[in-house]
Amino acid sequence: MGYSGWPSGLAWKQVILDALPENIKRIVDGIPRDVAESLEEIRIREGRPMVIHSRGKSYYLGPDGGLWLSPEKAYYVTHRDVQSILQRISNYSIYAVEEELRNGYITLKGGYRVGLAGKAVLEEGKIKTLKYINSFNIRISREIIGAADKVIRYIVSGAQVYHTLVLSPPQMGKTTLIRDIARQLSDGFPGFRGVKVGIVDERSEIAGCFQGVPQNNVGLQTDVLDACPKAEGIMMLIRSMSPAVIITDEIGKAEDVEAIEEALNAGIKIITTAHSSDIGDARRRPILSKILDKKIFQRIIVLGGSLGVGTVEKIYDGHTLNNLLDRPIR
Amino acid sequence: MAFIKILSSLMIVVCCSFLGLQAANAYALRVKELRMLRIAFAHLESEIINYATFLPEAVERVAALLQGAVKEFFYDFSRGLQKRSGDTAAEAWEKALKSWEKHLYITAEDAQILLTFGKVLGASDRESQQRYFQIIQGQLRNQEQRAEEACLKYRNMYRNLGVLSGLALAIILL
Repeated sequence: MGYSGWPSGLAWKQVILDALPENIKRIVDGIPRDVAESLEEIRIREGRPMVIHSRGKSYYLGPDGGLWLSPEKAYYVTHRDVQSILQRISNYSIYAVEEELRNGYITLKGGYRVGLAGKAVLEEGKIKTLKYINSFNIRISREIIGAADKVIRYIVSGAQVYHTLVLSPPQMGKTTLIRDIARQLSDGFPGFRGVKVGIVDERSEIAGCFQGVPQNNVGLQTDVLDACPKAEGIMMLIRSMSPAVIITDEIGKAEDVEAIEEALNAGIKIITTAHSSDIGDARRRPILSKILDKKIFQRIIVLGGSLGVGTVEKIYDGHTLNNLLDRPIR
Repeated sequence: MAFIKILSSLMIVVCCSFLGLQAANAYALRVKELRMLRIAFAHLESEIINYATFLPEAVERVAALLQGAVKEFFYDFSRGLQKRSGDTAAEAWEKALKSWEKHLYITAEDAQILLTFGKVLGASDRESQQRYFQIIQGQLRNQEQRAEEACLKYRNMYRNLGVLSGLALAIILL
């Protein structure tokens, strides 16, 4: 994201500290540097201690940002803190983020996401908004330029891009991977000229749009439909933006499948992801197994953690279901 | 000698009249400011309800449409929000109001109404923001009416009082 003044591992501070009220800011700023550089989540819950997650470990935060393994010396979040955070992350304008509250998260500048929990207000059975918001999950996503280097030659053949499905358990880097795939396909690389890419970013995680502008590098020829439902977004892109490749996150609904087939018929390549640990696991889920049976995808990439977060465990040929890798790569 | 006496008497009359005018004017200016505040809140309501503009920007746009000390007060509030100095919008509002209150002709009661409104500004969904705007418009209209009545009642009185007390003082001193 290239903010000057902060080493890349600490780039999040610029945006996130600004979204926090003074006393919480002081605490977060006091987190020891080595932990701050690999910080993944800051959890803030009213009346409970502040907790951070870093490299798969969790720590309680003391009033000075010190790390504790037990909650006794931790800072306990007050009602006032929670109200201030809500005001600041919404730019003092709760009325302007109604849609985001309904979805349960607010995207900050830089594409960082803050998940929210509170009491749902219903209207005619649908969630109208959240009130009494009392939990925040500040997620520090890191875009990794080059994350797709190791897989890109498996999903591109000459000038052709394969239909690709990325399977992975949560938190194993599938969004990071397809974000970089989007960038590489869009910008091109030696041996491949860039193509038009369309992203349907339902949860604002791939491009991390802030007021519609991508905050992550998703490529020079990439159009992003931010916060748009997948199936409708895919149809919109087909109709109006003539992409060569459509990239979207986490398919799983019946209408997603229809939209994907529509794209196939229009000659557009699809790259998408699903929550699943392997093909066998995916087969047990009705929608995914339907997709697999239709043999829509030509490449199926399986991510895991055997060599650390983001390990590419397997790459299947979608037709023969042969694994193209000898061993996991990272 | 007589010339100096006449001149100083004249000065006394002019000064007293001026003070009287000032006091009378304060009533008229309060009415004007309350009217300006109502216009400001009507614009702000439109920015918030119709366009969902973020508050710092909405306040700045509204300030551009205003005049006088009310304009400066709104600019000050918008700057406070943009600098993100307060933890909440209410804090920034209170700070701006406290520093501009002395430059405004509104009464302490008017200021209290504004202060209360600031506590909810921006801090809820569109629907309830709209209700708050209706409330503040009603309250300000009330205050404006009262201010107009007071203005009619006291403006002439203070004007006359200024001139007359000046004359009285001059006669006593002569």
